[in-house]
Amino acid sequence: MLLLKLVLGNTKLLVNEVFTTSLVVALISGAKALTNVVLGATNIELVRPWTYLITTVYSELKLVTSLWSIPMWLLVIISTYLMSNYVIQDLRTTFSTLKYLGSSVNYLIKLIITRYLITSSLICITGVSVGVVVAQVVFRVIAYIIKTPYEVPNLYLSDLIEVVVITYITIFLGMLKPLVKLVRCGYVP
Amino acid sequence: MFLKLIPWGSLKLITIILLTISTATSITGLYVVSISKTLTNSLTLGSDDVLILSSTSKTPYTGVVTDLSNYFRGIEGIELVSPEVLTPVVISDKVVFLRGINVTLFKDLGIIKYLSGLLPETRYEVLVGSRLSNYLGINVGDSIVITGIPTGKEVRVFVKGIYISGTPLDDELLSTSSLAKELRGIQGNYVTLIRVRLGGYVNESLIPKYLSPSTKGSSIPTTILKDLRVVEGGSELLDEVLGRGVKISSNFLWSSTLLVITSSILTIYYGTSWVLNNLNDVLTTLRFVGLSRYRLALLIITKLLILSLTSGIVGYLISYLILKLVFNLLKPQILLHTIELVSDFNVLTLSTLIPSIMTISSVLIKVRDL
Repeated sequence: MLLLKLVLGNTKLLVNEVFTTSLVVALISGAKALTNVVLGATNIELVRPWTYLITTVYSELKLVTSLWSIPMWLLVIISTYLMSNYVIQDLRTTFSTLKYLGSSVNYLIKLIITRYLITSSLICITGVSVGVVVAQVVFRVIAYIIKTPYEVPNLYLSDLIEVVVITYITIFLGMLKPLVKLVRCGYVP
Repeated sequence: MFLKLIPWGSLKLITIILLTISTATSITGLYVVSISKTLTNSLTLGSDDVLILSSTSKTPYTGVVTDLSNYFRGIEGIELVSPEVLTPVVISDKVVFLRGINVTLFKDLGIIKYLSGLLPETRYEVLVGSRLSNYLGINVGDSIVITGIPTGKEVRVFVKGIYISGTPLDDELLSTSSLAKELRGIQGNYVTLIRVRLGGYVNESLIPKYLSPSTKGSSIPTTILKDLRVVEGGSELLDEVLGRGVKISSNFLWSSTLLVITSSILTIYYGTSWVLNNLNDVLTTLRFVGLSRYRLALLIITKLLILSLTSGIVGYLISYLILKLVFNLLKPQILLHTIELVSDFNVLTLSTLIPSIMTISSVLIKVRDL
């Protein structure tokens, strides 16, 4: 419990950090869920003979969405980098004190990895949940306006794995520089 | 001189943030505009043409209507009537559209600008669009196997010619309507859509009137009329067909770009706060030497406004170049038509102005702490 308190620091800052980045992850998850609506159409009896066409259009749309998501992942890196700068300001005193009290660099790295895993997991959970819920609400409204039968937008397991893995990687990249600075506190003048 | 009070070097982080957000917004906007344009163009409707489709169909490709070509040919002022049967087919594992037409009549419509080879004469001869022929490596005289997706029927056809239309039709195959009907599984007097070319005498807005059951002398049964809808030339086809009058393309552009900016609103806010925190010493000194809070806010806003507007324009240009490269390399398609990148002033405005407004709002929120 104490370890958690040490690594997570200010709760308000943690919430802000998670929320800022998870909004971008939500956008990517939502877009992926909306793309899956196309494949869901194969479950509609009326369009079943067109399945081959729909799966082709789906793979084309997936490519389009993947290309679009690249700058969004860049945004995740930038926003993580920004928020990590805030976080290290908050954690610097804690880490300097720990260092002063005799904690090894390995222990500090362990704390940082724990923090990275916790925040990344929170960002994944919040981002994916918000994204899918917003996609469902948006799509129900669109489907109502254009009066079309629809399948509810959802993420397939492969999409979920992709989003989670890329989120962990991009957050790691965003956090890397500020966290290296944090581990070095006490060494660097 | 006034602007030099705050060094540009201290705004590095917010520059990166604004540039990334503008690029993300521009890429989203350009994507939406390019896809809308591709879908709109896929109908290839000239300003003098009118399309008659099934009222229940969600796309111009999927419905069927009774062929009323002869009825329209009898109306004074209508120059050409082209009934068309569209069906998705598979060639070498790729899905493309085959458009069954009266080839001579279709050529008279002026859609085919250049033809290498000859027009198909028999049931098992086709014309291939120039982009499709490049993509699949098909030449005049080749024999190809096509499979109709709705029926699963396999047919070997000969490529009689390759055409250029300068429209998304260049991603399609053209054949006789009997072959398209066979592959689509349509029997009898049905087609997918009827294209009507108007002459000088008939105003296109009169066409719905001709289809109205109340029109005197209309020989079309009411049951058939109920199934028809008219899409007039010059209208926004995506909005007209898929959106049923709802402006899908512009709404989607606005909502998608706003979603990107909304999702990055906190990043902008914290980025601005970070800059102001880092400038704390400079700002305190400036306040100490007598600069009013109003002047200080004006200084920061001017500086960030220059930065965000420049980032917006640069972000747009970067996005355009990246997408140009990606579209040329990967040739992404949507509904079987190659997406053509289009530049759009609305996207530039959105990706420049909205992040600027967000940045200024963030400064105004923080200004009381100065």
